[in-house]
Amino acid sequence: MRIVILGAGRVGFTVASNLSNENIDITLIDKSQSVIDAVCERLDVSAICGNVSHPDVLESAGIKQADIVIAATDSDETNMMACQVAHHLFQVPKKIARVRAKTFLDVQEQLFNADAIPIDIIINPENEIVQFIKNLILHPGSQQVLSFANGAISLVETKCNRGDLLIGKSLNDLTSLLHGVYARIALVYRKGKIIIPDYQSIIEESDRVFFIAPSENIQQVLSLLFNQDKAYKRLIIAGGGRIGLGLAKELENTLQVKIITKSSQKAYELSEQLDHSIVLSGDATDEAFLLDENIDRTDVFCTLTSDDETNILCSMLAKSLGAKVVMSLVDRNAYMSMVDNGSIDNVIYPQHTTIGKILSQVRQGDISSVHSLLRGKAEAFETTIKSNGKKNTLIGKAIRDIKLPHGSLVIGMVRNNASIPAKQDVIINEGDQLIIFIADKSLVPQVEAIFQPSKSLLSRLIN
Amino acid sequence: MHYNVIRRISGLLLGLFSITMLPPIAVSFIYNEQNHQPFIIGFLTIFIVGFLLWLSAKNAKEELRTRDGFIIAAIFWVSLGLSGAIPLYVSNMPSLSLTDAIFESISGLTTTGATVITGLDSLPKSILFYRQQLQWLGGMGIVVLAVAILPMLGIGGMQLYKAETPGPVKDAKLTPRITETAKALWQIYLGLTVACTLAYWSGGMNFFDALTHSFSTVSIGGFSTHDASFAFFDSSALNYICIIFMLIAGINFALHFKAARSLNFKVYGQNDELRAYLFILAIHTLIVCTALFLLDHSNIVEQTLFQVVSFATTAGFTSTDHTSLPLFIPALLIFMSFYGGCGGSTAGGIKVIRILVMLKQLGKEITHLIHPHADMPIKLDHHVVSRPVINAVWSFFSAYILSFGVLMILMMMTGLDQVTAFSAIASTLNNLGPGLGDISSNYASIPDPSKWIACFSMLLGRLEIFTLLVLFSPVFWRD
Repeated sequence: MRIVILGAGRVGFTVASNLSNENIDITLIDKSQSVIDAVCERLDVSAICGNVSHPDVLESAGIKQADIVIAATDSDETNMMACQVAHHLFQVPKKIARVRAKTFLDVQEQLFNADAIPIDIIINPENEIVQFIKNLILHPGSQQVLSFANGAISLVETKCNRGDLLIGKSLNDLTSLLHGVYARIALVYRKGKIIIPDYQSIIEESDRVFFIAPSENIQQVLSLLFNQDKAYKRLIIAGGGRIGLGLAKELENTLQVKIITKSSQKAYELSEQLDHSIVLSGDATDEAFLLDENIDRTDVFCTLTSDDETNILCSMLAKSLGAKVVMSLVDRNAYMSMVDNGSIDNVIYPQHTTIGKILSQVRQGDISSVHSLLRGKAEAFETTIKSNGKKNTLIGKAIRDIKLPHGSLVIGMVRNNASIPAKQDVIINEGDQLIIFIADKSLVPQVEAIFQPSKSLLSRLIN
Repeated sequence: MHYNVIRRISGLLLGLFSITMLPPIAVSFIYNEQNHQPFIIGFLTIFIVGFLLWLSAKNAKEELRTRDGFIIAAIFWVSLGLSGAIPLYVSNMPSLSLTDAIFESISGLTTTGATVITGLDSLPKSILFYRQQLQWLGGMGIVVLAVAILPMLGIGGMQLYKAETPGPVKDAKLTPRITETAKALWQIYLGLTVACTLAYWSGGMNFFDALTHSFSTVSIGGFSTHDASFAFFDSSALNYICIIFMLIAGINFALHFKAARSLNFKVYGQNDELRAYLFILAIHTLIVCTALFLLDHSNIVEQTLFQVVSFATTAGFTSTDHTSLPLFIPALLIFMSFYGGCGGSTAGGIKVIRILVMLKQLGKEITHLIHPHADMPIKLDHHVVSRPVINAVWSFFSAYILSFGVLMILMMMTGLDQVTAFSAIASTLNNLGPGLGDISSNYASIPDPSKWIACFSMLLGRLEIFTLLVLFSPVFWRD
């Protein structure tokens, strides 16, 4: 597979580095030579310097043979233009573009089609991060909430704290704890190792537990197993950028939202766009300022500026001043292991929320909703069982008869838009959606092959 | 320095190299020579050393850094030179001293083609095959081969590739992934070798000679299975076939790749370096032709073409005795080896592309004297050559000249006369092969210390100075 990525900024670079490990030929184009030089040093991709929407530049990047073009520059207009060029001059089958301006997104049905501006998939990383954080805030106690099958079923990551009911219990005891609610512990992450639990496995303190449950039951499970029953009420957001503003907008009707930004000019702009939030202009690292705003009675303190260092320090300060839960946006991989030790309750990695949507385009075999887990080590995705004209050999088989490689398993199942327990003896019907977890990314091609039975014997031999 | 990764990868590479001992064993069986023992010893020794190295660090998972790439390429070429000598040293035919065996092995791997063996025609076929095979492996670079077939090198593969491939612009990959680039290069290389074998075979060589000579032609090595080299066959057809394939192998392989991929031969016409390469060959052919015409030699055109192409591309095949010509011709031919081959080909020397950049800069300086306010970037193929590349070209040139001077003086210290020392260093640094004076036919007669200097010089030339030189800088070893 060949992919051309336009723009080697944060999004472009992250996508390229994730995909280049997957046997995909990648060409990056950026207008800055120094960015291109840095890419050449660090990634096994080819990189070209030039204007990303110019046909000659695109042609020299081999766009004629490309299967997918991903336009990820920070200009909506450039991305749209590039997709148009790629479509009309080079007939690229799939075009993904980053479009952020809300006014474009409001008319996306009419605007982004083959007759007008041919973009197949729109990505909007900021918006995806906002949705991700919103999910965390609406589900107290969760570290990650990932939904599958149009929101029918969710995979939730939680951290086991001292005093939780689950600690010291085996999965056998789970049924009695849950009082009839269905949930399944899919995996446990303990001291850097992925453990796929069986019925005898014991949950220990500071384990990270991933459970899967129907979306409407998540809060119930969290409160039963992890004592997280109180919904958050007071939220302070530090950073008035796109993400901060987006989050405030989403939540200002359900929670008491305060948003802090440095410049008073910016504060004025924000207050124009927000109706119920309190917009504060001040320094979020100023102790007195935070105390004035009752930091000690705040449920959630989110730092969402574009500067990692500010985010981390600010969160730590807020935590020490008494904020109940602090969340922080951290972009740089190098900081991840430093902040994972618990000083910040929720560390949000924007990279991983963006990559999933693109990965689901790259995967074969009716795979969708790909979510990258545990810093890209593992992956979870859904696959729909279709017959595609000929008989799919999986239909009519029990789940235990799917020959999945060791390290991958079926963790959930959705039939007719309702979650059903993925027990070993459930027979697969046409139209079922299976949620698959893969503990090691190198297994992805094998799993793909199982769910894509149309592949000829020859192509299997070659791969 | 990541010694674990270095050990692991060196182990893998040695393991890979040990496999190349197997074809000569097959040759020994085919010709019923009972000469498989040296190769079995070589295979086992290299394999075990490689395996132990790998075993001692098999769990090393870190990525290769740029500096690790240098050290692996350098260590690997040195250890390859040494381990490649094992079968030659162990074998009774020819009976070589350790120094001679190592010299022969390094000369093979670096595609120099200088030999210390006389009486090639009477040697077992398996040994002859092995020598030619060494050249073939060294031509495209065994590290590049490893990058192509060992997928576990990952991004580290790029560091290794950079350290081994010749030419001033090392970041230019042909395909997005380095493994694919390396594969493409070896496919072209293999294709050329097959074509060359068939051409020689149909031109009248027996199959063994055709195959082995195609090895040393396409790799621009210069080893032959006969003492008389190409003069042995005494055939115009074979000479012309050899000229054509040396010409092709002396062109940048990236061009071959582009032409093969698009099935469009126009790419050759649009390339500045290729035009300069052909121009240089034409001018020198003309000069030598005129000289020979005035001296009333026979068979002028064929002999001149053969010598000029052979020396310019640094192959070093000989079809007539070049020392019997007026002295300026052999000297001119040896000078050609400095600037006769294209970057990214299997040729040695400074490479046409660097010379071209320097000449263009020279022209620019002169124009600048006339138009002091003109802004004239140096362009190749209608693209501006960036300043760092120009700087790298000049520093490479000065390092080359400096190495040449130092090594030549060292050579003279070991007791060689000036002509011999000059031609020995020119010939080994450019990976050419034949020399003048005492070494005009082979290197057997020079003292051992001179041979060691020549070995170093050959490695220095093959790794384009800096890869090896960087190991001698104190900064490299500081963590």
